[in-house]
This record gives sequence, structure tokens and C-alpha cells, in this order.
Amino acid sequence: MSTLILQPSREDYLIACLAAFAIMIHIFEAAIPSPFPGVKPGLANVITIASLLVFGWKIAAWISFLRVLVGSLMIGTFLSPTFAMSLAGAISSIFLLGICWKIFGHRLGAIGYSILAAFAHMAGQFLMAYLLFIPHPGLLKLLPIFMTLALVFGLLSGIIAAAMIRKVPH
Amino acid sequence: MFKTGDKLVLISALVFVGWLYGQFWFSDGRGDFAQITIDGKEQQLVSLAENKILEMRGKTGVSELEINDGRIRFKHSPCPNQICVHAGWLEHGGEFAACLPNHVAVEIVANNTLFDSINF
Amino acid sequence: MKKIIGLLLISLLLCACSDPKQEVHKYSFFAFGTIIELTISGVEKSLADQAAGELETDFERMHKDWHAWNPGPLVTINEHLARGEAAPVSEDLMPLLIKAKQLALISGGTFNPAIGGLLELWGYHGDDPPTRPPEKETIEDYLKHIPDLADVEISDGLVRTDNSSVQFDLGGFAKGYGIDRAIDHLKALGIENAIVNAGGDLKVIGQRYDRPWRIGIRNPRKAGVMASLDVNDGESVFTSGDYERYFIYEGKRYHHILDPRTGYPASDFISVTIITEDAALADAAATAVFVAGIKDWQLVADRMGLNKVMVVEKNGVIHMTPEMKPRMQMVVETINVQDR
Repeated sequence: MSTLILQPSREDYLIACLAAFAIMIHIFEAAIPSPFPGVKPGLANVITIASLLVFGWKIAAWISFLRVLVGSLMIGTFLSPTFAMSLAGAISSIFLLGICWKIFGHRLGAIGYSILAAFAHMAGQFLMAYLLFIPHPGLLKLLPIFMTLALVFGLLSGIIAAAMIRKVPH
Repeated sequence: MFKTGDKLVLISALVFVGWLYGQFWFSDGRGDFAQITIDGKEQQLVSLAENKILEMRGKTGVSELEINDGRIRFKHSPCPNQICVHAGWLEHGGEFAACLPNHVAVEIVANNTLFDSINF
Repeated sequence: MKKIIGLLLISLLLCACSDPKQEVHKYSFFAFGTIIELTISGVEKSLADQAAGELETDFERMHKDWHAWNPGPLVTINEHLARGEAAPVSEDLMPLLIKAKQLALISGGTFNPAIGGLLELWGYHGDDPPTRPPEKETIEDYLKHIPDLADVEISDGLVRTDNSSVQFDLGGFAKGYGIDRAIDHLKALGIENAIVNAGGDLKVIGQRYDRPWRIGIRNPRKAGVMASLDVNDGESVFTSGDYERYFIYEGKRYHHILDPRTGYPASDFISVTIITEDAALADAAATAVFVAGIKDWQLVADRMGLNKVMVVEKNGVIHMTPEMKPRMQMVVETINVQDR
């Protein structure tokens, strides 16, 4: 009989640590009331963006995915419509970040990536809401407002992420 | 802090959002009807000319809609956050409110965008 | 980098430009003594423009040929009949008269295309609306020799009758016949999705690029619409209402839908809407059902082979046949009648 010991790598610790940080922001944000369902500043994205630029896409993707999963488990929305929207948003944003990271790399900064991520996140969420709740064309009238909010919060997260990266010794 | 690429992303983003407004926000004057959708399919058209209260049975209960003076609003709705009620009066073509938990949506439509022709 | 962003922007702009197949072309012109509105979808603008031009010419010619009062072929026929002579009928007009007779017979006389004389008594033949009803005695005299299509013989290019009061007026039916012809013309041009609306009565083919053609049925007593209706390929929607042509004399409203049996405007309904494929039938039937009144409307509808009928009573109550009910998306439940 042998015991299999899973030895976490340095990378695993890094992901766990950063994801925990992102989850904390995620939960904190969930407690703040929002005028629109599903619209949150998305400050947890700061961690995703900063990780992307410092450690690369793979780690950013892990953090993003863990945040949605663990965050929903802790808030109690796991497998609920809110979770579906959140997951759809996270997948779209991480997918777009992956493509842009491959094409542009460091020619784009935290702000650029943050705005792109916020747009993709909102679009994914919106699509999910449209399919899940009300496939009504009238809902599209809300899209410009949601995208404006995504732009504002994406810019804000980007600025925070950029400031954070400068403090990190490379 | 801003790289050239970031600035370009920001500019494109602004253009994109502007385009979205142009695309989805053609406000076409005062609306003549409210199109009520329940659960995404069951649609009902009501004239805003007659003042009345409508009771719409949705997924979780009855949403009460009030029509008054050519406007419509969610008066009561069986949802915890009352977003639909806080949306207030809808009046102009394209204006929209929805009670997501109850699956009831209301959109204002103007005559000219609703019908391809009029029979009389 | 800049190139890529530029490409992104250009692709965005391209998305904003729409597919010409997804456009709806609208035309309206004055012809046939009314406003003709043509709506076309699914073809290039150039073809739609051409169709609109050709239809305008068609309607103008039909109006001239089929007019009961302005000099033309139908007037010549009426002059012959008034003198008790057999009247020669052109090949063009022949199918129209045969169909008019056939519809009159199945309607049980509630649709009567031979009461040109009665309309003239009431003054509904000119362009200006009349100001007062005719004397009671004049109408009673007319009713003694009320034209009956059963007494009219149409054969061998001739129309014959022993009743000299027969005067053809195709007003209650020519519009439908004309709309049928217009739709045939559009099809011949390769247009598969269109609405032809002549003075409120219409026929559709195909659908709009994204959904069925959707029309509003006007409220007979108020501004606005009382029902919404998705019209299927090939269907006609015709409405006869007391609000279309009328005058008020000593506080009483007199409209143009005359009951051949009484000589006076039919009084039970304020509007009647018919859905059926044949526009000529729909046109005649809207008049026939209106005239039939609350007692006989279902009987007349049955005889004319109609199953989609809606009638609005004078008190504002709306009745529909079982086949009509699921088609009409009502916006109001009853018509508010107090204001007229």
C-alpha cells in the first residue's frame, strides 16, 4: 500500500492565494446593493488583470474560474441563475483576454485589458440573461446602459490594477 | 499609466458604446401600446388609451400593472428587490421594464413601429 | 497595432449597415379614388420602385373602367340597361360582372351591386358627401322595383334585364377585385412579400423579412387601434365601417352602407371585419355581413363561406366567429361608443 501525496507546486500556492483574494473582493461586492441585477463593479477583476500581466493567461484563467465557483458556493448562489450569468461572464472575458493576450501581449496595459474583460464579461452575462430569463427584444434596450457601466467599471478596475502592478517588484 | 494600446482600446470602447445607443435607443415618440410578455412567449398588447389595472400572472405570482394617462408602470410585483416597481412610469416608444423573478416584461411600442399597415 | 484597431472599427461600421433584403419599401399614391399604400419586403429597391409605378397605372385604369358615374364602360352599360336594352360588355369587365352577380346571389341580397339608383338617391355618387337624406316617399318608390341580380342575365358578352332600375355600382366590390389583380401583378414581377392596402382594405403575400405581416385594425370610434392581427400569406382583411363615409342630419348619423331591403343605412353594426383569401369576396362580404345585421350575420357569413368574421355592435359589443377569435389580438375589449 502506498500513499499518494499531492505536492502543491509553487504555482498552485500562487493561484490559491490570488484566487482567495479575488473571492474576498467578490463576496464583499455581493453584499453591496446594486440598482440592476447582475451589475457589480467587478473589482475582483483587478486581480485577474494584474495576474494576467504579471503571471500570464493560464494563472489568470484559473483565478477567474475559481472565483466564480468558490464565490458562488460561499454566497449560496451555486448553480442558480446568478451563477450561470456569472460563469458566462467569466468564460467570455477570460476567452477574450486569451485571444488579445496572444495577439497584443504587453503592447496593451492593464487598462486596455480591463476594459476588454469588462465588456466581454457584461456581454456574456447579458446573453445568458437574455436566453435564460426573457428572450425579449426589449431587453436589448438595456444593453447600452449595461455596456456604459461596464466601460466605467472596466476603466476603474484597470487603473487600480495598473497601480497595483507598479507596486509589485518584478 | 496609459499605453498607446490602452488609449486605442478606450477610444474604440467609447465608439462601440455610442454605436449601441444609436442601435437600440431610437426613441420614437410617445407610445400607443404596451407589449406585455410573460415567460418569454405569451404576449399581450394593451392600449395605453384606457386607464386601468392589469393583473398578470407570472412565474411566482401576480404582477399588477397600472395604465394611466398614456403611461404604464409596475404597481406591485411579487419580487424581493422591486426593481420593476422602481422603474416607474413608462411612456415613450422603446421604454422597457421587467420583473425578472416573475418573468413579466413590459415594453412600450408606438403605432408606426408596431404595424406594417392599418385596416379600417 | 493601429491597423488592427482600424480593422475592428471598420468591421463595426459594416455591421451597422443593413442587408437590403431586410428592408421594407413603402409607397403611397392616390389612385382608385383613394390612397393606395404598397409595402414590399425581400427585394431590391429598384424592383420595388418599378412595381409601385406599374401598380399606380393599373389602379388608375381600373378606376376609369369600373366607375359607375364618370364616363366609361360601366356607365355605358348602365345607360343601355336604363333604356331597357341589352348592353354589350367588354371582355375586361365580363368576369367582374359575373363575379358580382354570383356574390350577390350567395349573399341573399345583402350585397347588391345593382343599387346604383339607390346610392344616387342618397347622393353618394358624387365626390362631395350628401347633406340630407332623401324623402321617405322617394325611397319607398324605389323599393317597389328593387333590383335583384337574379333578374339579370349575363351571357354571350351581353347583360340583359327586364328591370330598368338595375344600375351597376361596383363600389362595394371593385376595390377587392382590384387588390386581387394588383397582388397577381406583384407576383408576376417576382415579388413574394407585400401588402397592398387600398383605402384601409388590404391583402398580403408572404411576410416581412423577420416575422409575419402585422396589421392594426382601427378602432371604429376612437383614434388608435382596437386589435392587432398577424396576416398569413394570401389572406385579405376587409373592414366595412359606418365611419368611412357619412353625414349628420338633424343630429342623426347617416352612413354609406345602405340596406337594399329597407333603402336606409344598415343600423345594427358600426364595423365588420372579414378575413379570407379572395379579396373580391372579402370586399362584398364585409358589406353583406354589415347589412345582414345582428340577426342574420352568421347566416350570411355561412352562406358566403366565411369563417373569420368580427362584428362590432352599435352598443360597442364585439362578436367574433370561433376561427376569428384566436387571430385577433384585442387591444380593447369593447368599443367606447358614447362619443358619437
